[in-house]
Amino acid sequence: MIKSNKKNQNIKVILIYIISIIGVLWSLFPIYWMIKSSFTPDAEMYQLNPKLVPSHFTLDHYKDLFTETIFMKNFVNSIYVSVFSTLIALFFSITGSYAMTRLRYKGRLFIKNSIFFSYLLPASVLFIPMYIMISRVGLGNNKNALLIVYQTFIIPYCCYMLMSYFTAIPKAMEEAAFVDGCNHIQALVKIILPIALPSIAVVATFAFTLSWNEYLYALVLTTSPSQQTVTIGISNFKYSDTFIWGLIMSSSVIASLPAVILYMLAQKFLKTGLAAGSVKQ
Amino acid sequence: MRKFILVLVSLAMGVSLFANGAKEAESQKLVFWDKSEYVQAYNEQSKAHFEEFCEANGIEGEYIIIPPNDLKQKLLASIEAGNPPDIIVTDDFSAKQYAGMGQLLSVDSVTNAIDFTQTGKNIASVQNGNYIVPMCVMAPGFYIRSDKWEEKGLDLPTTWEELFETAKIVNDPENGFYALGYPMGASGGGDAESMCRSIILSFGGVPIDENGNVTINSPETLEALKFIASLYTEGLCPPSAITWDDMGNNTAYTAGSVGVIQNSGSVFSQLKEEYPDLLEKTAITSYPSGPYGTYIPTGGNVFCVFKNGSSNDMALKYVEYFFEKDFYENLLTEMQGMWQPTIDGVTDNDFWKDPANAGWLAASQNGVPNTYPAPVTDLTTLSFSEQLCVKAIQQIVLNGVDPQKALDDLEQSFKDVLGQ
Amino acid sequence: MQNSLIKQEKKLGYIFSFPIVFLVFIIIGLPSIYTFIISFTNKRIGYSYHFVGVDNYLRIFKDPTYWLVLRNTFIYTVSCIVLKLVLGFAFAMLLNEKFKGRGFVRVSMLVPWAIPGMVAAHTWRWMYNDQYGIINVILKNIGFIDSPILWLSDRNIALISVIIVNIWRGIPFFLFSILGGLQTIDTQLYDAAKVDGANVVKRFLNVTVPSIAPVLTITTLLSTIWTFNDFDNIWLITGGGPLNASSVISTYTYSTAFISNQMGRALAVSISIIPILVILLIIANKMIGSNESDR
Repeated sequence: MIKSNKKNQNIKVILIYIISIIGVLWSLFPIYWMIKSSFTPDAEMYQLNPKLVPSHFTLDHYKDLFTETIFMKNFVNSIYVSVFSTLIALFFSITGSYAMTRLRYKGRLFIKNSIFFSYLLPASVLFIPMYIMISRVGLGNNKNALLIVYQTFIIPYCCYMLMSYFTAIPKAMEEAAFVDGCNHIQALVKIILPIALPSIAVVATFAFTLSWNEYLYALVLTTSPSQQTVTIGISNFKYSDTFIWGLIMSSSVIASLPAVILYMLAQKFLKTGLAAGSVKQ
Repeated sequence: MRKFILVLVSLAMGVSLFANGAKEAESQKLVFWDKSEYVQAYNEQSKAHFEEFCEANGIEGEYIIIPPNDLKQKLLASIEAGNPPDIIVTDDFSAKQYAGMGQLLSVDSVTNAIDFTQTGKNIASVQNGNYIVPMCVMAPGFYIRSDKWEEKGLDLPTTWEELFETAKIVNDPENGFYALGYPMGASGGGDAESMCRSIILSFGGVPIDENGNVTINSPETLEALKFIASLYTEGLCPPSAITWDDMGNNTAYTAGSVGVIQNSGSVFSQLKEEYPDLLEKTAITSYPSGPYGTYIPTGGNVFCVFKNGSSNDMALKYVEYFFEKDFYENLLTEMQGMWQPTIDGVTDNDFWKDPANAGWLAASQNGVPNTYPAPVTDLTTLSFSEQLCVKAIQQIVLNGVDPQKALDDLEQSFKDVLGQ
Repeated sequence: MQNSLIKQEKKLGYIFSFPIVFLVFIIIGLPSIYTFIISFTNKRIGYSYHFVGVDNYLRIFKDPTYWLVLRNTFIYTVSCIVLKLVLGFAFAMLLNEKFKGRGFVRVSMLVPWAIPGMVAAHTWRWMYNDQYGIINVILKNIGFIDSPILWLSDRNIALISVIIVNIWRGIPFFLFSILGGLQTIDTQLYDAAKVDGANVVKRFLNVTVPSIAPVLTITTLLSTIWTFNDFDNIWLITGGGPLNASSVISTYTYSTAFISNQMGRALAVSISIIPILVILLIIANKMIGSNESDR
């Protein structure tokens, strides 16, 4: 009996490792290929039977990327846009979600449900009217316009997550605070926020990625390289009938770094899950 | 209640954003959207030239490089918002569509001051006015791996029929080598449609006649469609060529995996710079001919000036300034032959005396407009950029549609586009 | 004091929800109204236009391409969601076990989610290339195929190719949401079930699934919306081709609007699917609502 249990245990461990290896290969192979291509010399790029490991190794693509292009400028822009759009989104989503879950006022339910509307039309349809609106308020070709426009998809997401998380926090805790003479803002700052911090961190990480990865709005709303973000920087390496794969791949590697690093740092919080808010406590 | 009023007020504010009158006062800045080119020297020199102009005239200028793939959506958005750039450089067939919209400024002042060649005028003329300035001609050439043909003891083909027959012999898919590398993807570029049209015309078919009538449904076009489709169904092109974009053939040729492509001089200059060995094995000739002769749909890059731009006069002045002899002559040399001039008097130098380059110059003078023989309007041009013939070939090759049925549908699509 | 709190509550409620209202009804609302109105015109950008009633709608409903694209959209959305859910669940169960190297596996499996979608699209497009792509070479070397698979040019495969990429990128979102849920399940529940004699399958169905149902709902809902509207992935890999074989509503709208410059017709396409989305959202809303009332 004990023996067979142990045998079962062994089979289980082997199975776990087999599946893990498959999972890791599946997830990382394309990443490996991207990194590998970024170090492959042009002459070897178009080979009929590409090898898993390049026979020559070059840093030329990175050298070109850093010295001959303005990609780093795009990179800085992306940091700026992502950080600030995340902060803005967090501020309005936290206050908004608090209001919609904790405060009683007329029309609350309507407002709550209306957030769904923001998902009905995709960016690939909305960007023309969005462009018109943005240029009319004088923000044409300005990266700050992205701070506003990105809220259209960040805030709804943040609100979903935060609302369900706030709902899960017992009301009794605030009520105790009210008895002590706290007002609502104090209750939010002193009671709700500390409890919700891990899940706010998750939501923030995710909001950052959403704006870091955005492509279509950035393409249409910004025109000068000095205003453009990394996704557009990469797409600028596609000339009329030539793709500069070396530059595309090396810039892709650089563009992937911040979010990957951020996720690694946020590991601790991510354990509670990307949809942490909706977990039954 | 108060909230409701707030919402109403902001709604009203918002609506006024869309109202046409509220155009913001923009600073007088000359905005130039240039095309990104593979040859880096172009964008560098063009930028320097533009900045020089702005400085000399004491105006502020902004030079922006836009990848051709992104130009159309960006431009349409800005046209819709009423704040297009002042000047753009684009393909002739895109420009002709903007001309039809009535968005462009007449360029009489430029064409009066500069004497463009007939070839130049060909790529720039539109029926409804004088809106386009030809910047350069990009004549396509027929690139063939002469070494592969010689290996089999074959003469280089001069007719489509010969091309087909010899291709069958040269073809070696087992070893990853295909005789032909014709892209046939509906990706928005011009290579595929231009190739289809050259074959249709040389087989005697006429997509749209001189009077603007759709005349594509003829036995001659049917033969041409069958012929083009057979290049794919017989396995003479790599199987994925049916969806290649304009990049596919460049890549395949420089990688040495196809034997024939039709392309502008961009491959030629790429070979010169990076693959001199391959250039040695390459012959660049005129297109093969069909029973009705040889037709080479030829386009190029052109300037457009937008009516709604911020400084019309300066924009026109710059376009004129672009053709300053020394700058222009030098620029064409830098482009390694992939661009041919649209004005006279800039080819009297060593570069164009080199027979290889002279060949491109000669080729640029033999072309017909992309929409030949139709009158050049926004709609006939749209029928080209919509790649209708390409889609018909895809139907035959990918979906196994009967060629006559595909042709009937093609006729209908032409009529839809032209509103007939 | 109670009274002033209630008064403050109302005021604060309006102040705090104002930005949300502004976002939904102005920043998103106005462009949506514009879209709706234009869908009843024959607008082509750069030309003058007029109202044509429901012509655009009649026209697209008669167009077989529209139905093909709609069909593709459903195949794309449903198969992506189902596979992401199943695989995400499986890997979450795996990572919920304790074993050496778990941390590494966890980080690795998160990476696809962190990199930009357009970067993923370019990389996969490069790997899918039939002549220089690595995928065909590997498949050939392990003897799986004889001739290269035309990942992007075969009309029966193109849609599958983009589905694979979406799944690759989307699994981590499910994985980590579900993992988060699994970790909050009280182990006593399992013990109790064991005592009741429930086997593995029963424990899974009676304990695991109900415990994480709320996570599953919200994850699936968000992912469905994102997948339904996915644009970059398909546009940058196949462009919707060949012959619309991998076109979905978002890419079809885009190409109708910008390649063919048929704005009115394109917007009619995107408006025409709103009823479907609304029904989806109402169902989801109900499900989330019922979960919340459980608490």
